[in-house]
Amino acid sequence: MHAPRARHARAFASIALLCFAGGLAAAALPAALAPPPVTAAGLFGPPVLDLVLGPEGKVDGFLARPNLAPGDRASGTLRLSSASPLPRAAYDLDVAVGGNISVAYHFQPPLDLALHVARLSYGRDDLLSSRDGGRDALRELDTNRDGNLTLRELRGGIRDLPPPLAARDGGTPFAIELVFRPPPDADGATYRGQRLTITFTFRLADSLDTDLLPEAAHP
Amino acid sequence: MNTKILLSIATLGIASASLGYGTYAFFSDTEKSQGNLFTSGDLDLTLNGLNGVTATILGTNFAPGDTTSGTLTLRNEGSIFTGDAQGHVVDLDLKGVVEVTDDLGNVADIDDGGVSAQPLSKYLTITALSYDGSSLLGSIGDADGDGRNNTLADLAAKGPIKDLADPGAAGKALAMTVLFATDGPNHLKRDVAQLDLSFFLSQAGEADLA
Repeated sequence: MHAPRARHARAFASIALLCFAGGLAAAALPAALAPPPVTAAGLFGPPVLDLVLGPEGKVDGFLARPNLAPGDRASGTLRLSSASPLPRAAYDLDVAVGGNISVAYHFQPPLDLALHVARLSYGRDDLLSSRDGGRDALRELDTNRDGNLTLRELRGGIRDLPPPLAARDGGTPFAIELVFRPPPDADGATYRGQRLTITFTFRLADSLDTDLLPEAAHP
Repeated sequence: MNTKILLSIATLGIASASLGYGTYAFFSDTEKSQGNLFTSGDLDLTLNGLNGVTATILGTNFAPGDTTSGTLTLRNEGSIFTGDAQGHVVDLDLKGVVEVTDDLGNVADIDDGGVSAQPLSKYLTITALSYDGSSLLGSIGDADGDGRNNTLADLAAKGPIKDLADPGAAGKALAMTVLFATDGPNHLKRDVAQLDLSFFLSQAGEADLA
């Protein structure tokens, strides 16, 4: 008579233990996968996730060029750094590229189609080539497969770069060079009078976190 | 009773599992670089303040020995010019095309040899052609090889005069004086020669006017 009740009780006990253990495991899992906490001056705490862009006072507008004519180039470098050293495997960096364009005439193709990325590097990695084992943003983002990466295509964003070095180690440079290269059939009026403002958004996050979505790059 | 206790523990376990899974959040930090501004410039050539000028040098009722003169003021009213803050270099090409109509109404481009062996354009001599005060006559000469120098036919045969200086916003003058040669034959009566001058303003390094 009591045998089935006893079996039920044992089953419930097993389920309860499993759920409890599962709860503990779920709570403990991120902590287990998270990077080891950083200690400083004897304090124990989570790593300081603080991304800093430099050079100070030159972050906005680091890449600019007025009065563009075909063949003109513009280049700039930002120095990214983390407030404290971060384990390479535990964190990553996403870069989103957005922009606002005002055309002078409604029939004009937007300027970002004629701005080509001539150089793109992060630290020692040439992001336009995988020759040295680095990322190949050209292959990833060259949507029309013409072998050139335009600023429009770069708006797809670059994800999962390693975290920058700590400020005390000099940080990691992010360098970009654009060249204004209208297509051969463009005449003098095709792009003239346009105004393009580019925004670079850098997001440093736990590598388990959701990436900075490409949608963020398209205001 | 035991069953109730066990059910409670199970509920607690499920709740703690949900709590453990649902409350975890990742840290991140986002920074932006804004105001990276690009503006495209332009080249805008005007002649006498207009985009396109016609009939500025006229010789009507022209007879051998007559002269006529005209001046065009060229301006680059665009934002891209030689010496701008971005270091651009702009140059100008000039090309003349002559069309001759004889008194029978036959029309031919001088490049095709004209309507006769001695079209009017071979007897219209450019006695002065200067740009910004510098003579361009030395670059014309006897381009068509007929033994007569600096005629409208020579100017057409010469092809473009290339790489003249950017007129800039202040402008530069192109001045021309044409003389109807005194040895012009009688068959040139009532003939018409029309000179079209084309100017091509471009960045230095750009393909020149063909």
